[in-house]
Amino acid sequence: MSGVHRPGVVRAERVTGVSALTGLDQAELSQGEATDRALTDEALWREIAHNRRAELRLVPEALLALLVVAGLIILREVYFR
Amino acid sequence: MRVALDILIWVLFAFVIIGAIPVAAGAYQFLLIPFHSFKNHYSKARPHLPRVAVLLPAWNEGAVIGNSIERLVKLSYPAGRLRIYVVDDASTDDTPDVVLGKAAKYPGMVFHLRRQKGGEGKAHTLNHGITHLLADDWMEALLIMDADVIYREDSLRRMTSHLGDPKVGAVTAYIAEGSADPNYLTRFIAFEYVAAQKASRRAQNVLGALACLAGGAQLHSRENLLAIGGRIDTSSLAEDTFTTFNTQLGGRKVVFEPHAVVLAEEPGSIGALWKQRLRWARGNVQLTQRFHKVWFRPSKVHRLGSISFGLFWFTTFLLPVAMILSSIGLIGLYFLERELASTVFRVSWFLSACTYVFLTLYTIFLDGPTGRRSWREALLFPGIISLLVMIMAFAPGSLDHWLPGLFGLQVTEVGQEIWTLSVYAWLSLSMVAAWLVKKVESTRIGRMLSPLLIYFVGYGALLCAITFDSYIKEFQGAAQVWDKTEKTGRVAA
Repeated sequence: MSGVHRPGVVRAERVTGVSALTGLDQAELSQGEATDRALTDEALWREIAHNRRAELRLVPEALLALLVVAGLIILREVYFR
Repeated sequence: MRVALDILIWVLFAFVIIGAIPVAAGAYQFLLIPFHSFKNHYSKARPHLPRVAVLLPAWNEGAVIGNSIERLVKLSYPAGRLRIYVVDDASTDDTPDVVLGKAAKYPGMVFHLRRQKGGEGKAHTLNHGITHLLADDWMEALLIMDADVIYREDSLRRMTSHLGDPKVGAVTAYIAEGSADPNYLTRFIAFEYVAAQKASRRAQNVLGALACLAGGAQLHSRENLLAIGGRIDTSSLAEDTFTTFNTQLGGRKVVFEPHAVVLAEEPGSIGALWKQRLRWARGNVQLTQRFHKVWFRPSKVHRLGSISFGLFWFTTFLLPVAMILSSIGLIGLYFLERELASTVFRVSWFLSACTYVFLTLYTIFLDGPTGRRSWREALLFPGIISLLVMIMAFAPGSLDHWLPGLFGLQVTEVGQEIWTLSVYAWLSLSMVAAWLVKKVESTRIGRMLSPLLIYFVGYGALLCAITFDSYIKEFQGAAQVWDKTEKTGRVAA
């Protein structure tokens, strides 16, 4: 493995069919089949997109929590006013 | 005379309002979380796998270090791009043997760095390793972690993807409580961590200012490490928070990645929790003083000076003060303007009740598995007594009339006065009660009773009592002792 600092060299390019680990030595790429599969360009982009999509549920969850609060306030107005 | 009385009433009224500010700030912070759906850093993240040096400070961590290293080796990350450096802080147990064994098993990947003189604290230990790492240019990013934490397999690469944006200086992960044998206290901590990290840190991402990179999961770019001076601050007890602030003051972003999960072993007794949190709280007092020129001064370079971030910081930092002022205000008004006292009590506790329901439910939604495991602790976070007070304020006449009747009691006028004053004083008394629970925990019967007592008094009150203790310790100039939290390897991988 190269001991030389190569800033920016491993920043992935979004090119179909080309490894995300642009600039990585082939030896580094073959550290294990499972790891390689997980670390392909497409897989990593997919993971980021998945994380991004997962954040969308924050809105309905907040609305649901607020809805419960609103329901409790209505109950209070009806029964404890 | 009348004017003086009016002024006094206004001052007492203001005290109650100040007491309600942390509640409003909590609601505001949680209302920011949904904006993380759209205002997050994923649009600038990209596949990025720099050469990462993992720095593991260790002092007598023989029970946990082997497992931590094994888990790190199994990370889903190119092995040639990952090195693990254990900085052994002159351990006297079998830590060196365990680490050397792993170094032999994974040559070129696991390294043992030994400090001959130890016990100076985590920051000194980290600096020993950082000096070594910066001496050559292999490292492109540095992951600082604790010896006991367990990284989920995909955590590191989820974190490094944010360093693909050169404006980002550091990334932190979600530290989840991960004890294999949870007790009531670790379940409280688990819920607290969801609220303090998965919830609050998302809001801080939205604001663009993060309060703290978790000590067990901070990933720095080499550039950032060099920009903050190539070392960790050693003058305080909150080295991770100082690093977080210095990074942002230098104009680099700090990002919280909620999907990178790291499991940690947390204290299982009130005494151990008190020791750990007192260190953190004292560190926050030191930081608040050190960065006094940052607060509430908006800057083009960073967002730490924004009004919102200052509000979040100080409403947490000064929460015990707000609670005491609220009690003083209510009790004072009770003697001067009884009707006004009753009204402001009901309004402020009604708001607390609404905020409590919103925050608790939202936090449970944010981490379903933890919510299912810790739902009792989530509901009883403020304590059974505070919960009853909230019900009284939310639904007037429900408990205060019904409860005595349940026991066939009739409330006399004196009894009513004592009851009302106790309720008004409860915010302050709860901290005293939490401190007493900590005291009795060290006795045999106290060990059995303390879980029940904490459910009554509230875990929140316990945290506030610790914060108040930190004011006292800092005011007294008590010695800065790095009390390591005892770890036994209870984390369920």
